[in-house]
Amino acid sequence: MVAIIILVAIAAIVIWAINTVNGFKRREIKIDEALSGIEVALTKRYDMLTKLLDTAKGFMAHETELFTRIIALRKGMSVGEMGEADRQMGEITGRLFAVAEGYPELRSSEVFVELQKGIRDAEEHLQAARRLYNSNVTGYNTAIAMFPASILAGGRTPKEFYEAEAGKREDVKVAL
Amino acid sequence: MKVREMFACPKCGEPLEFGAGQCPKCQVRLDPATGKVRENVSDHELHASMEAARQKGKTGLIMMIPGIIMISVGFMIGSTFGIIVAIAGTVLALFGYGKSYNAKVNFKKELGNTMIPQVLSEIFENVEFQEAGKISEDIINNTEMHFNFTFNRISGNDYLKARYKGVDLEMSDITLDLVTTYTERDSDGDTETREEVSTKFNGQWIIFDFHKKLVADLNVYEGKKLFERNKIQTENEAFNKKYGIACDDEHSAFYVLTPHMMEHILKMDDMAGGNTYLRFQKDGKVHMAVSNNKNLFEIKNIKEASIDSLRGQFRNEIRYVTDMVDQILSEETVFAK
Repeated sequence: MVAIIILVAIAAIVIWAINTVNGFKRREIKIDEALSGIEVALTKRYDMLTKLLDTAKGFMAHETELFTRIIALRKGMSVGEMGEADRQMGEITGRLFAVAEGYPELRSSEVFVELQKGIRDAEEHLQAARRLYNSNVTGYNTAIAMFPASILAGGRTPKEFYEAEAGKREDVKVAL
Repeated sequence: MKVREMFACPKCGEPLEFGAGQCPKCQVRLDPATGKVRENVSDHELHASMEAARQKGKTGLIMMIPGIIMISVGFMIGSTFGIIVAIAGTVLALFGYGKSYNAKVNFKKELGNTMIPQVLSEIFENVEFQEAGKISEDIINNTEMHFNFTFNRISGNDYLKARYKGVDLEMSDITLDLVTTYTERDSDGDTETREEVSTKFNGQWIIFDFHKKLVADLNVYEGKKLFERNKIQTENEAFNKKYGIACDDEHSAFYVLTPHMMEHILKMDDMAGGNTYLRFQKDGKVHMAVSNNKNLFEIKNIKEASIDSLRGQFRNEIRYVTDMVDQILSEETVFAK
């Protein structure tokens, strides 16, 4: 009788351990998926911004400062690097729209209006992707920190949150 | 013999004598000279109608009193004569009640043809109002709203279709009932079929068309099961606790449920005073069902109401809908212009 109880207890612990470790794996996969979602959204925003700058060049050729910034976007960027690229794109977009105020012909052009909508849509998707990623990271970091699951966390370390910092501004070289 | 000229009411088709100023069936006001619907009815005429309805209501209630007395006396007397008196009293009381009830109903119909469309036209464009209409049953059955109950009967009224700040909307009062039919057998072996009606939802169903297509359908609903935990967890703890969230695509849920949208939903739910169910559809339509046990455009107390107070009441009732659209169209939601 005692042996059966012990066997059942061991089985329960083993099942719990398997579920917990699988749970960590599932969360890691979800985080990778969410990060991929951010990459997709960033790329879409970058493409829209590139087209918008190309369109604007024709109208404001002498605004050279706007067109001499480099945003490096590549596959497999870290969360921090993505955040930095996001911030830089936000800065350029903000400056472009501010300068475009002085060019009514550009602002009223159909292509510009469509691209503006496209950028807004891309930013909304980026915000959603960012929030989803952070939500998954919160879940994962909490799961590996909580006792008794933390015993099985092993070498797992908390994941980095995605922050689009409005931090320090640097002169960054941009090539289109 | 004089032949009376007849024509059909342009609204409900009821046969009317030429020169009639109002249809007795749908209460629409007509131009006696042309037989066409009169769109503008003065406050003076509405006030007169209201007074007439009050009088009929009063008369009806007064008729009920001797009827009720006759029922009581009839039961006290007993015997055949007492039963006859009780039956006569019942007929009188029912007739009085019917007169009082119909007076209010007919006045409401008249408001539905006159004041209500006028008030709605001040706020909305392309107004179409049907006092007896409701949102289509097919739409309600096919919407896949995440209700925690089942229903098999739909009824409603006060149907509105209009446009507000570029947003097309439809709404009506809706009641969802679960009707259970069962058979009872008495001691003689005779069976009788009975019906039990349980009202599961009573409130408003509103459909907004923001013309913003989504990747997946999203349901947000109150009344989730105890200890039910959403698979999708937003960063708003109060929202996660209060509502269930169901969506095939997590990204779409976060896309629609921005921090501001979640705050709007929480605020609007507080104002609504009932369980709220939302469905954001891929085609850009948003269905909102609020089970608040309130009916729009109802005359709560005809004895104390005035034309101005009714107009103010109807405007306030609609403000709930327009405030909601205004907030959703604001900067921080995906439906913003």
